[in-house]
Amino acid sequence: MKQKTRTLQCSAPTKINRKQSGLTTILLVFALAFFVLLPIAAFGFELARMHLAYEELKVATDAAALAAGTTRANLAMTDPGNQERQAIAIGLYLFKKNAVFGRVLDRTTYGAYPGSGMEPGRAYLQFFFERQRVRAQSWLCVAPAFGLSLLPPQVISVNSAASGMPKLDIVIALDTSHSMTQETPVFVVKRFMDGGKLQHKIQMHAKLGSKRMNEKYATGWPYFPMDLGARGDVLFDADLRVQHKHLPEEGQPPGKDKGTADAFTDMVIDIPTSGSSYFAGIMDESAKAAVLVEAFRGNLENSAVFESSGAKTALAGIVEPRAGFQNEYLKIAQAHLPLFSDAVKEVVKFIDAVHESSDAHFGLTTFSGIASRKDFDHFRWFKVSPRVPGAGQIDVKLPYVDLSHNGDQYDAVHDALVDENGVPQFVPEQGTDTGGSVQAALEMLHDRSKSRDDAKRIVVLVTDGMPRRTDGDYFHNYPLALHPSSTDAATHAAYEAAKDARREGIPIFAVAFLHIWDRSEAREGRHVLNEMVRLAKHGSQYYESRDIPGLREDLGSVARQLVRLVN
Amino acid sequence: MMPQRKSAGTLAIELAISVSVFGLLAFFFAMSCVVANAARVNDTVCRDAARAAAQESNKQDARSAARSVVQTYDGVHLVAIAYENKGNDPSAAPYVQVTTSTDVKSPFALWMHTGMQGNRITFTQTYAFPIVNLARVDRADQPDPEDY
Repeated sequence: MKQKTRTLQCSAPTKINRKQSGLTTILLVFALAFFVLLPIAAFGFELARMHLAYEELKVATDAAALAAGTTRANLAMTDPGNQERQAIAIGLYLFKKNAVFGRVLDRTTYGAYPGSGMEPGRAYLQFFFERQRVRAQSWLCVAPAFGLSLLPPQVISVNSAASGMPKLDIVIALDTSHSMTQETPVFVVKRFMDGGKLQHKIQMHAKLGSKRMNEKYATGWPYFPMDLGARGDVLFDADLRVQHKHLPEEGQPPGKDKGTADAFTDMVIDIPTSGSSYFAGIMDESAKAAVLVEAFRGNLENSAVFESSGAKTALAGIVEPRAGFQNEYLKIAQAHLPLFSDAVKEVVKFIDAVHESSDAHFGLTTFSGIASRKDFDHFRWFKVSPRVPGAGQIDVKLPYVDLSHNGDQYDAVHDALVDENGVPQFVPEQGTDTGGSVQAALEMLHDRSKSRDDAKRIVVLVTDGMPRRTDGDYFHNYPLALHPSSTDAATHAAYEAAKDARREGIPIFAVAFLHIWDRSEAREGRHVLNEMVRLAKHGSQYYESRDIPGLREDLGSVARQLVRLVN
Repeated sequence: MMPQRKSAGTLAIELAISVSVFGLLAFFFAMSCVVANAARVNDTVCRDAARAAAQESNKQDARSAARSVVQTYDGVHLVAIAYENKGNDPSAAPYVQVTTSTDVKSPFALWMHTGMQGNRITFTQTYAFPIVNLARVDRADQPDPEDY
């Protein structure tokens, strides 16, 4: 009994405990499962869902920032006064095209999150335009998946998305070949003595590169730009050019020419005489060509020269000689080389836009028959041509600016290209040494003492035609004589340069300005540049335009291409 | 012996009930993870496809770039691609919009942000990116200028 009692005493509570604890355990398990673990799981699920919403909102914000950044870079070239407003409109438009949890963000308002009162599905977007980037910040109200009882609607904010151009080391390779001047309107004026009086006769009024001009003065026009820079005499009459031995210097009367007459033919740029032109109001329209010729030749600098030149016989009473005529003419004439001048201005705009939008360092190499390098940024050349050495020689500029590790070189490049009035500081030359210029650019970018380790390195090549090194016929004393003179060799050099760019990992943005009227040459130029881009790889791109607005758009597209998400 | 048998039986029943409850929860969690992962993968694929397409300068290349990204993931489909590029005009807001989807089979009817048909959950995501490399307007048909 004792034992039984003991057993009863011991076992009875045990039985009761087992029964109670079993029920309790089951209840506890259910309670734990449904009131603790399930809510925790649901909360975890909500957090994961919020994180996914954050990620999706971040992508949408990135897209908006990228859209705003690319638009700003584009419009910096084409519509600078409107760039921020347009960038906001397009960034917002793109943002609304994106979705979070499969629902497009079309209920987005531009502006900062007001702080409260935001309903689920509503979003806010705001941009901040800074010097080298565009930042975007967005807010989105997300409703919880398991109803409102567990969690209230959450406002997610993404404020780290930013857009802008990365660190860039850019070398501009700019074609300054004479073909850039072929849309320049010019007078061809024949000056001759008739009965002791100097007379002027307009032989032709046409665009410099027109078919008509080239038919009549087949080989004459390449001299024109160089002679403009040289401020020397211009010799164009095809018949006269070969026979002529003694060109007059500036300020001298026309010389005699055996076999024809006392005659010279000059080609001068047709300067508009209206508006604010220096020549407006002092030049009789009927004697315009004559005035321009004499101003160009320096015969209107003072009365003595004017008298001795004989020009007074034709211009007396029309224009009063005074010092500075020649300089003014040359200055205005350079500004009126339409394509060349405008193309250089567009390149300057591009540099301005990139400078404003990114941490960019610049280098510059220009090229015509040969590309400029550090030790070759000018050369001596004949005032008229190698066939007329007596006319003397001058220094011809080939602007070059070295890339620098320590400074952006923005001012140096700017100043090398244009003066304070935006007029190009140099004149076009003959030939198109595309390969040489890309090589010069690559040398700068390859040199680690000049380029930065963490910068994206690129070459922007602006050219208007086929690679062509100048024929030794006229340039036998020219450094080019050391180089292959054929188009094939120049093309080969361009391809080799593109391969070198690929080895260096440097993309080439080739901007073809194919205003050339010769379609076959344009076709060849297009082929060569496309092949260069194909060889260079690494995101190299080819752009093509035929006019200045097109060139502006293309350079805008290059700027757009350089925009990347920063984070 | 009997009390011991009863005790073990009760324990087994308790264990069975607890395990089934926790098992159900664990299964639910696992399915949630699968579903969440499917949503995440679909999101990633859609984003990458949209970004790849935005680097191209024409519709064909954009479609092919998006498709090549999507094909690297099993179970994700390219639903639609819209390519809006009106020449070299940034003010026309050139963009490419890519929509992808993926299906997940589930024994649960989960209320989520997606459509559900039977035990199949379909996740759809749409991203739009600006086209970086604008296509040029072809000017080849323009007449050559005449002499001045």
